[in-house]
Amino acid sequence: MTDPTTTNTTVAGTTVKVMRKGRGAPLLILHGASGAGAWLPYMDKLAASFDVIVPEHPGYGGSDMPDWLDTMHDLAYFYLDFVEKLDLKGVHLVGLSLGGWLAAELAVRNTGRLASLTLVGSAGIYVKDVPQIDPFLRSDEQRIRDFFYDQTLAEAVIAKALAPELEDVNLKNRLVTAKLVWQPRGYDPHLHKWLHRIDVPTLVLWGEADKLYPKQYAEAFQRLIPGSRSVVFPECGHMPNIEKPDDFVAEVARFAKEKRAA
Amino acid sequence: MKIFNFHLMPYGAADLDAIQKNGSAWVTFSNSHYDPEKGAELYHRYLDELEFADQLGFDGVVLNEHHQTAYGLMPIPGVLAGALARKLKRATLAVLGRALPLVNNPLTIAEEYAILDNLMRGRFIAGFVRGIGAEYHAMGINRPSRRAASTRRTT
Repeated sequence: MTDPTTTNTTVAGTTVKVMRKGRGAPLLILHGASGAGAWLPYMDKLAASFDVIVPEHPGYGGSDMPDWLDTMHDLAYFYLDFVEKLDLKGVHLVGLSLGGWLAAELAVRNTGRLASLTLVGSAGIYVKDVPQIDPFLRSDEQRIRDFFYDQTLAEAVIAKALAPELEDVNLKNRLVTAKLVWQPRGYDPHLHKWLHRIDVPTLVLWGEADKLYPKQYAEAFQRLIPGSRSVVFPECGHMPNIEKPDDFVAEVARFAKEKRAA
Repeated sequence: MKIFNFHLMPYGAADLDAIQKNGSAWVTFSNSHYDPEKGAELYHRYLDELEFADQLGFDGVVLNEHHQTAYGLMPIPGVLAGALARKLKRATLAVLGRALPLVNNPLTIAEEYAILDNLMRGRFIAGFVRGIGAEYHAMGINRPSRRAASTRRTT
């Protein structure tokens, strides 16, 4: 695995850190509440067939904390500017958890530059009567355990993610996440009304044992987005990209290829 | 120097084992553990204690605000302040305080405090707090953005 190119990209006065690697159609990954973090194996595998672009959201990690950032809507408009600034066309947009919510917010506004949308363990809507874990009521360690079906994997992630040198970045990420998702907790009460506007092929990927957004959420997204398809991975938690990287990459690549052929 | 009697009004009848099992006496501790008959006894006992503090010569008595917790039974301290206002003969009454970020319209607190100040003929201390993290869970208020709003409201 070789390193990606890391650049600081300025869009409308806000500078964000961007990792990029690979050749092919652009595949834009929007990260979840833990930040973009390091270049991971699943990204590298995708880079074999795509131009993989992983920006760090404004407010997170190595990116600016702009004054204008109040809601997920602000981030959605930022990323519409971002794809325009980089002049990306035919983008395969992949959103993970909070990034899935963000991708959906972007897509209900404008799909002009998108070829497809993939939502993974996505936040953004509310499904009644589904017990969910509230990550703000968990310790740092327990929160990471909740992400995974395989607890051995959870322990490895805990050792890496809670390293003392990452304390400042983790705090920054946590603060901006609270600002974006605290109330209503992890969704926009208006988003579900507009998901029908998404007119690009959409794939909904989920872990069967997702405790944060249980699989009923996959069913709801699939129902609300016209023509979308869902795939649920067995023995997998909230992060199929980490827990089932090979299956995850295969599904994303197959979907993009199918849609190109169609 | 002045000496005030500061009451927290805990739910003294709380089942400590249940709190231990739940991991917290705040927010997630179910109200099924609350017995309103015992609660009524406690409210009257605590108000009697504060009135007694006035008779003993304390310079003032103090109420505070916490939400959804066995730690304190004063989510709306103004109600208890109203009950005390007619009984306190010498002591100053202090509410420390009301958490501005938790309310939609701070004018309601200005009105509440204005009435208390009148009832107490000026022997009233108006306190304002930001609230600790648990209050933001209990009240469903976005902490990072409301903190900024609270600063605007008090300046």
